Amino acid sequence: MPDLPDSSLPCRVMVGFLFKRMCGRTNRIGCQYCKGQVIPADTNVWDPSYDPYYMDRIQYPRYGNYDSQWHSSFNITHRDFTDADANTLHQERDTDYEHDLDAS
Amino acid sequence: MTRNGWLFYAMGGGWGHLNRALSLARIVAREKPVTVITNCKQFEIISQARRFKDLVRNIEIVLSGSTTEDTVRSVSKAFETDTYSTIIVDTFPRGLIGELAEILPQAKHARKILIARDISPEYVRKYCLIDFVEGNFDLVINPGEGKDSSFSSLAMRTDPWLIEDDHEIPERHSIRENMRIVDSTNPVVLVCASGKDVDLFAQIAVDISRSISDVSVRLLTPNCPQDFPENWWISHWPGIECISACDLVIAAAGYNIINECAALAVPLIALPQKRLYDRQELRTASCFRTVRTAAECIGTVTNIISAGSLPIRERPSFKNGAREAYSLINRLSQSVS
Repeated sequence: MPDLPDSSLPCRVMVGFLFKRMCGRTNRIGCQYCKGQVIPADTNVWDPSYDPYYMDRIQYPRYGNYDSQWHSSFNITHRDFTDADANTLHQERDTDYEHDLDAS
Repeated sequence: MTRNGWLFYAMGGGWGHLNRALSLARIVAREKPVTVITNCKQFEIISQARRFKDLVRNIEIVLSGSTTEDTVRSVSKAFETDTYSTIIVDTFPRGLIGELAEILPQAKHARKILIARDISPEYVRKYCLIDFVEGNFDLVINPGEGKDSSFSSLAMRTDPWLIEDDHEIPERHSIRENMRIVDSTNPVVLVCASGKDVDLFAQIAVDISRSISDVSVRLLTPNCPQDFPENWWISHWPGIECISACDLVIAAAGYNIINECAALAVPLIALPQKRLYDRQELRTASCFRTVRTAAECIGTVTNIISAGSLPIRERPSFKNGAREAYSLINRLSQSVS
């Protein structure tokens, strides 16, 4: 069985710099994000042993949470940017290998 | 314990991976136990085809399920069994969703063979697949893909693998009967598609029927598209039989259609489609014509039909690379044991 406990299959670590999303991978070998390290899915603490770029969601836990407060310092119309919006944009990527069971 | 079974990993949404795997599996199954694991969505349709029982005998088919969790569970379970002497992985060295990256190295008891249909070089580079393949496979076979395809430097090349040998293809007139083609004087144009391409190619079939008189057009897809005339639609497996009975084929540039048309010497107008892994453009060199748009496709068909330049074909004669592959793998087994 792959090196992820059944309960975490697919991997639930949130990844992505602009658009956070669930990693979804079935193993850590060759993973672009955790580089084979084990990361608790619910962590919000940056561990300096992790690669600071690939672990961006952990380094900047509030990054990408465009809720009703984030724009308060700007004079713009209220619009929430939700996880669903991020997912929609994420689906448009065309180089996300090893994710789609119907990709071939 | 007898350890002489063969396990085929034939994952991939369409029926191309399964078709290629079955082309070798059915040869192996005459001598050894064979299991094929697949997530082919059209399997139910294929398994009900009249020819399925003739062509696919003594093969256990395992359907992997439709979710990531089900897939990993099914694949892990299949690979845990240690009665296999040989594991054949089609196209994806690490598995379709990377699940083989950890499973495959643990299957130490079996010879591991990669069927290297072409995949994106970006994927190969990003996941260091050359190293992975060198470290985990005993043999890499290029099933008739071009010299620029991925893993060519590691692979032994065979002719393309086909689901049937030339002598197994039924007579043209009996296939035409099944395709409900009554007027044998008109050229028969076959439009083939599956998955996301069905609507595009169904529209092309309709447009050809409207714009060219004196042709018989048939659409070969797993299911009849919505609002498409049912008397023009056919569902048949294996598709190579329908191709053999036609004068002109229109399709994307997937592995099976390209190689089936080439083997049968049936002219193919290819409209290559963008894929995440497959580089269809690379295969179009061997096509009769390559077009970029539906409009160009219809214009090309019109010109070909009006020029009356379609070749008269004889009974097909071709080599099936799957037989050569079986010999290669057997030779490997003998040299290692």
